[in-house]
Amino acid sequence: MLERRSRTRFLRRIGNVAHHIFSWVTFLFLLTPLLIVIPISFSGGSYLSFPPESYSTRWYETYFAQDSWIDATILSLQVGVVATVISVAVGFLFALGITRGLRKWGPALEKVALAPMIVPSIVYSVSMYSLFSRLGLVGNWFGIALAHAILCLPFVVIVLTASLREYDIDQETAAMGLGASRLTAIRRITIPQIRPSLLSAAFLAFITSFDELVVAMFLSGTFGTLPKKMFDNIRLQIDPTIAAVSVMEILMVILVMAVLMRLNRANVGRLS
Amino acid sequence: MTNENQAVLDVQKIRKTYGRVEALREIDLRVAAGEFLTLLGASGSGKTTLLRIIAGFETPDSGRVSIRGADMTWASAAERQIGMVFQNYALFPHLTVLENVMFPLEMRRITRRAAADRARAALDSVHLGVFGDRYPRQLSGGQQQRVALARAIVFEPSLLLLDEPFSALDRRLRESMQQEVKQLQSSLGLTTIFITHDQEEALVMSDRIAVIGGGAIRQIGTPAEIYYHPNSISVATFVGESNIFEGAPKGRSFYAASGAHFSLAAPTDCNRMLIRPEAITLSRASVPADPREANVFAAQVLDRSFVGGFTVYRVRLAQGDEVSVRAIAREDAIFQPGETLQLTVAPADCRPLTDRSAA
Repeated sequence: MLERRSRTRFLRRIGNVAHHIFSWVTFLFLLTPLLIVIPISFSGGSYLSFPPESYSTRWYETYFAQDSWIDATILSLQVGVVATVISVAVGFLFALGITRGLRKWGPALEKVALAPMIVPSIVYSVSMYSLFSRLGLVGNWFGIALAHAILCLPFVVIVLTASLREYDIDQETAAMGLGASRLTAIRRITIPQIRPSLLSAAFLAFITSFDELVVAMFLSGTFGTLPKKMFDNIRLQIDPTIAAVSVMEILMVILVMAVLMRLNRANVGRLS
Repeated sequence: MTNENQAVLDVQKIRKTYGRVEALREIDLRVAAGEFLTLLGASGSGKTTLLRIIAGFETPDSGRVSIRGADMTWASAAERQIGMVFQNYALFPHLTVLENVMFPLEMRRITRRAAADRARAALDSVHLGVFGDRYPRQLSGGQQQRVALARAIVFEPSLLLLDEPFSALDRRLRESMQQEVKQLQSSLGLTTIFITHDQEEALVMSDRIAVIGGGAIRQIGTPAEIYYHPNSISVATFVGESNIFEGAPKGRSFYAASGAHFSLAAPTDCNRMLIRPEAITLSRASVPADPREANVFAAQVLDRSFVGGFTVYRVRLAQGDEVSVRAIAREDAIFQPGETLQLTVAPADCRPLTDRSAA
């Protein structure tokens, strides 16, 4: 009896250890490329190499010293913010339509909203290029923002439909019964309660746009967004500036996520 | 609009269909000022649809809804000045209790200060004066219910709608809330429409009950009228316990299908008859009775269940009908299964069901 019990315990422990090892291996597999970029960005040499032979901050200096890098960054931020605003505004209306009112067409509409995620980005880019060239939107930052907004839409719609499905519609109805118009009810009652999802959706949209290369290559003309600048850089120079830029991008994402988590935690504390 | 018979709510010939389902077919309903009217029906009976049409959350296919004489059929919910308490209360979780109650006043552009004063007074009236700064989730179910009530009455609505507000509460709390709501309603003179599927609740609280089934009002009347004079099997079985007999009437007699003969208080031509279980008396002594004053049968006890204040017996008449009897539980008068007893029921308690439609 006793032997059997200890055997069971032993097997269970082995299983536990194996489970831990497997989790860590997966984690490292996903994280290593990100971690390797950090020492490379502090390289003292002129080429992308790992491990670097010497260390310096010269590639960060290069980034801040060159107007082309700063311009690309500002353009990317601008495009990202506008694409986010458009996609969240349109996506919120989409999600409202899908989750209520449109009983018959809701599911079909949802599929349509997810289409930009399914269509290969090269196909999407080419068709955008041919459309926008006729509208004079190629080489115009707003053209990129518009194209990005459509690419961001699926993420916004996924996050917001999930959130609106969970939301108790009776609250909006109650607000209207108490004298609010539909618009006031949405603004005062619905939106404050789905704010965490709105923030997540906006974050996903911004990252999607900020990181997007293919559409930007087709639509940007002579100037470029940050990913395009990085791509050009790696094609022409292969110096570690892009590693420095990558590290700063990673930091930015971590920072935004931390802020979001804080905001959401404050919200959850109040709501649930 | 005449003053003596002023209806706060007048619903005329309301119809509503969803696809092929007829949710409401020609509903007519008038509710007088200060009245407490209950819409009683099972789920799917159409009572919630009717309430939502009255509140302005749905529009009828045809018909008219008037409030205080004004046509409101197409008015928005906001224009109707109706206070509503939802089944799940629908409190706003991101606002404090006080802000919740202030919300309808804010929507009416009342200054923040005046709104806060009135909201506090409303909270006081439901004994929640000290909870204004809390969030709804910090309150118990009963307290949340009171907040919802305060929020629904704070703007002095012309009509108060209660949609199964007690269904989430446990029995004891439910009974005390029923009393409290009833008291508040009559002290404020609030015209109220109350929705429930719980017949006991309906009998306790209402001035009038409208029994709804299959999208139509089956019967409307005071609780006593509904209970003692149901017009159909569906109403009789929905409100209270009942023994239904089918058979043939003959003047002041009723012959059940089994052959059992009942004397009635008045002649009838109905072929169904109702006897409430508590109207029947069981006794061991065989007392000869005048058939004009009492219907007497021999009956055998099949089984019994003790429910505290009373005992429910299932007995079989000599003629074969099975009957349920509800007797005051006296310890010295408990009958055993198998015992043969004398069953008496007064002719006045044998009530013909006037409505011939089987529902």
